[in-house]
Amino acid sequence: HLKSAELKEEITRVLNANNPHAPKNLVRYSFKERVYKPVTAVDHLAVHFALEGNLLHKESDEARRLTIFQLPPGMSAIKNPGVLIWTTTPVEDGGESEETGDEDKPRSASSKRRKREAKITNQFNFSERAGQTRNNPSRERSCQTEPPPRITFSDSANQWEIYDAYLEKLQTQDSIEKKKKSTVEKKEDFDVKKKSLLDSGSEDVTQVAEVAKIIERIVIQNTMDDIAQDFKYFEDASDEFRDQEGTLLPLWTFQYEKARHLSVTALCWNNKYQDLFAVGLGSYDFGKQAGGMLLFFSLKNSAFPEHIYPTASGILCLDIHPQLSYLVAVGFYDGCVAVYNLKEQTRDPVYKSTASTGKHTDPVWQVRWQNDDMDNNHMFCSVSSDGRVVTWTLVKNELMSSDIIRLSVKGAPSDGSEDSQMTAVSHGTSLDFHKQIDYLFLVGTEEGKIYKCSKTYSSQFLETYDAHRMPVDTVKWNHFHPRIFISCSSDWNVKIWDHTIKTPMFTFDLGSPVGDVCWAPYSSTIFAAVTIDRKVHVFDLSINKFEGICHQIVVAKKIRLTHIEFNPIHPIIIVGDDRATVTSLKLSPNLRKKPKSKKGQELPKGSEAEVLKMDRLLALLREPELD
Amino acid sequence: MAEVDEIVKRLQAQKGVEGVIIANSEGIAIRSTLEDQHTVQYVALIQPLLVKAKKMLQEMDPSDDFTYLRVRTEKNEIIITADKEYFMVAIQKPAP
Repeated sequence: HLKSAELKEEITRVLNANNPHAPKNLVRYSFKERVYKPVTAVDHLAVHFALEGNLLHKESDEARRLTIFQLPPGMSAIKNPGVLIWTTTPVEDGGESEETGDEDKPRSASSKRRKREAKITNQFNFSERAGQTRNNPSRERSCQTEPPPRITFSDSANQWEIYDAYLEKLQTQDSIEKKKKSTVEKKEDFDVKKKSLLDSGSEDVTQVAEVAKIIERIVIQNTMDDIAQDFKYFEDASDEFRDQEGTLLPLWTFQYEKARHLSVTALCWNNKYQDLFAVGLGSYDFGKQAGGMLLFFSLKNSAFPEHIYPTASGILCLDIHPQLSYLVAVGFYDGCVAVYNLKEQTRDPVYKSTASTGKHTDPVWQVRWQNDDMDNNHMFCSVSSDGRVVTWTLVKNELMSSDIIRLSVKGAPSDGSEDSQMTAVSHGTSLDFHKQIDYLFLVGTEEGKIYKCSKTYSSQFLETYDAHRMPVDTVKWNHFHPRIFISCSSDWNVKIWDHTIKTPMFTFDLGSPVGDVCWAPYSSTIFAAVTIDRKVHVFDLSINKFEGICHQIVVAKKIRLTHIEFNPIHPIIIVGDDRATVTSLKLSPNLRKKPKSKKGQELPKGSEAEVLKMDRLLALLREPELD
Repeated sequence: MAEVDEIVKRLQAQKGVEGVIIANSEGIAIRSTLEDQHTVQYVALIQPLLVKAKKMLQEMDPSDDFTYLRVRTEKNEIIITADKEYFMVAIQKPAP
């Protein structure tokens, strides 16, 4: 409510003719000054009503045209000053038409006049001619290109988005700087070239290699979980009922696709990491030699090898150094020997023998590491079909990566002493050094003989054994007993010898050429052999002197078994075949029996017990012999 | 770099493996065989879990080191390994 004073206040009101709807702040763009400028004079005209009419001035051009053309019959123009009005009443045109009277006539007259007035042409001499050219037919030609592919993209741009984008960019920049710093520290691992070529995201992925390996192993173990469990825990309970026989339980199979065409020519377990083993691949087919490979598998990852070394020539033998398990000696089909260092990143051997350093001229069948010599250089021996047993010494190793091996040709046990007509060089096919006596070794030959030699006597054999009728594939000293060794050959026989006696202690005919034989590391009386008819034979002499306790087919048809090795600690054996596959098998309890001790007796130490066991066996044999 | 890619390929080819992811310590996935959305989810959720696990081990025994972590669920198994800069995840359906 207003107070009385405010009520009496006079308020002036002004009426003006301004249009209240007219805009007060019109702005127009001035191209001259390139600026928006306000328009000062605004039109205040407000139109309230507008109606378009259709009246024409009679004298105007348009009206005249209309009178001539548009006068319909029966209508005439009433001459009225200023305005032309059409009427519908027929009116006489008095003085202008000649005919009178009828209603029709004035109509026709007027129409004639109209026509005449329309065309003022020469009455006497006028002809109109018209012609028309052919119109060119029009053809429509069009072309259409494929429209470029289009994607509709929409996004919102507000302050939040902008801020987020900037933050992200900052973060990536920070991370790139950090990565650059960390890679600078690890310079010795990467080539300088690699750093510049690879982008920051991927160059560091090499560091993930270790974790990636762990994950791979876990994933594979998950897939092969049951095999892993079997390996660890399964013991065939039915062995109790099986008398004395045992079985082999197949575990993992190890293959590498790139090596499928090769055969397994050598197997060796690693002493330090007892789940790692080396596989040498080559070919026994002398007509077809297709390169070779050295693979290392671990039991923890059966899908892919840990290390792969492709070689130009097929591998025929390999040996892992018993103490330095990263040194591997390899013998090739072309007569070379090489030493690989697993710690190195390269795929090449750290040492390789060449023609100048005295490599063999024939395939190398066996290599064996020796103890270090006086200068603490590593040594190994090799035997080859060219009749030489050669010792190789590694000098200039560790710091300098030199390719030359200095070797000293040791023994040359050639058989030429007896036959002078033909240079009968005996071809060595297998070699083994005594476990305890360093200088004593055995060589098996292609003629089937086994020679006992010593490193100190280079011209003579200590002993010759007429072992087999075909090449001796393997000779192996017993791990425990100092006098026993075993030999196998393609003449189907496996023979066990006492090196003091020229005739074998035991002979086993396995019914098929024997590829390889191997003593068990946990017992002096157990050994296993593989034959070409896909069987693995396990013998335990303390249980059965005449027959094996296990003969089992372990591979599919048409696959031949080539090599066999026992694992140093686990109760498994690996078997190689000619399809580059290594099968691992678990020995059932019957195959791993240890000597039982009577109650109350002290348990003798492992190796002594083994030696005793063997002695007992031999004593049994020798007594009838003495007779 | 190539050998890691090879390992990832081999892993993916293994039976039952549904996905493999490699991510850096900041949670950005470098390699992945799953679609982006899942990858980002996994990485974002696994990272704090990893941090907790490592911390726990450190507190229990400072000389010990984290090797891997397995999370077994009803449907599948998630295996997580880590080193200083990166961690790697594999999702596998366990063998029946």
